[in-house]
Amino acid sequence: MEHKNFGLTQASFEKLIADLKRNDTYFFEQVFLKQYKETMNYLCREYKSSHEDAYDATMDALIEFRTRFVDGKLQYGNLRFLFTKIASQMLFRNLKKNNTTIDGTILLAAEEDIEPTTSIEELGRLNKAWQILGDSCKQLLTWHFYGKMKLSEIAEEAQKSPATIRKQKERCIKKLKDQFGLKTILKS
Amino acid sequence: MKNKLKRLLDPNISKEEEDQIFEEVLKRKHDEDLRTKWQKMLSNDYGITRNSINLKRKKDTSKYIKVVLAAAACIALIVTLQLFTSVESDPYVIAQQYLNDQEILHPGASKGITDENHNRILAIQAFNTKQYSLSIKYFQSIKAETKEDKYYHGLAFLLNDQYIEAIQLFEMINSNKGPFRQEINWYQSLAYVLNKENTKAGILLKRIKNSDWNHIKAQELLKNINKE
Repeated sequence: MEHKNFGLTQASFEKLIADLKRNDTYFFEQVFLKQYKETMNYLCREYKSSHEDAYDATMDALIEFRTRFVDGKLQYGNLRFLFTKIASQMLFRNLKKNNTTIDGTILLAAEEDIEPTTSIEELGRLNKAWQILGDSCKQLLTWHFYGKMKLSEIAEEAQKSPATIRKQKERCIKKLKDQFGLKTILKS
Repeated sequence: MKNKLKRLLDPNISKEEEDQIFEEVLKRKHDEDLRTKWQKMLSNDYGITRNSINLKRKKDTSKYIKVVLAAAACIALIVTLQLFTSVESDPYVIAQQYLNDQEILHPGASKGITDENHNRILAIQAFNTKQYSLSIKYFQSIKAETKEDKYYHGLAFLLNDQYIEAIQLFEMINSNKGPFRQEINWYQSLAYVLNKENTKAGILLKRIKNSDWNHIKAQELLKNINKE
């Protein structure tokens, strides 16, 4: 059973989720980065994927797996099989997005694919605004939005009342929006 | 995403929509951070990079290094074997080994000798305690050395690494007959070899008969002398 779950026991599976909710990825990295090469080899062997495509698909699968963990969508069962399956799906999704068939034939690029370039620019501005935030705000927003922790759970963890945490969240969002708005105005 | 970020600046945005946008943009940001972090970790800790050319070069370099190392190991092995073989078949080494293998002790004064010379006793005692220099000194102090004295005197020289002196003494007392003929032939041969006089050693070793003491060893040493 543990082999099917990358050596994770039920208890360590629960710990891994709890860590990820707090954006502590150390345990996740210890378990999953070891599987990276094996998964890439699988994609190259099974689908004749290129090295680069296999690398990207496996990375996307890792990101997706983290998301599913914090969303509570993964059950302790056969994580190895699921991870390989998701990596395969990511491979086909990426190939479709890049309008490339599995045998390397490049199709006409769709107009919607130009959009991410602009998003990266916007993401840069968000990053700059994010740097202005204090550590407590960063932690609160990360735990809540990225770790999918409820405000009540964060309050319990921080040994504060839920009302205090709600208020703190509002202040953090306002600060971030102000910073982002300022940078957007300066940019334009 | 661009539109969504702009939407955040709308003063009329609802809390639900605001949360939804923040969730999306922060996920994007943190996912990108993780990708960057993991790319570095994969490269540094696992040697996995996205660029297959780099990987191939690394593999090729690694392969090249392995080939060079393997070749170096082979050469080292051959050299070692040759060295070992040559050392093993070196008559000098063999002679040294034969000399060291056998413990040589003086049996004491010969029967019938009643007037024990004090120096002889001391020479024998020193010889049997491997104090060969001291033994030589006492042997030299014996006024009238017997053939036995001279033989052990010669052995003391040989065991004290004084090969020339040993040879001079053995040559002096060596004859076709006598109680120490076989022993002197053998040790004199060793002394020649150790003194790098292999031609003389070869001549003498041939004189060691089948029935003589150390005949097999003599043949082995002779074989290796003839190889050179």
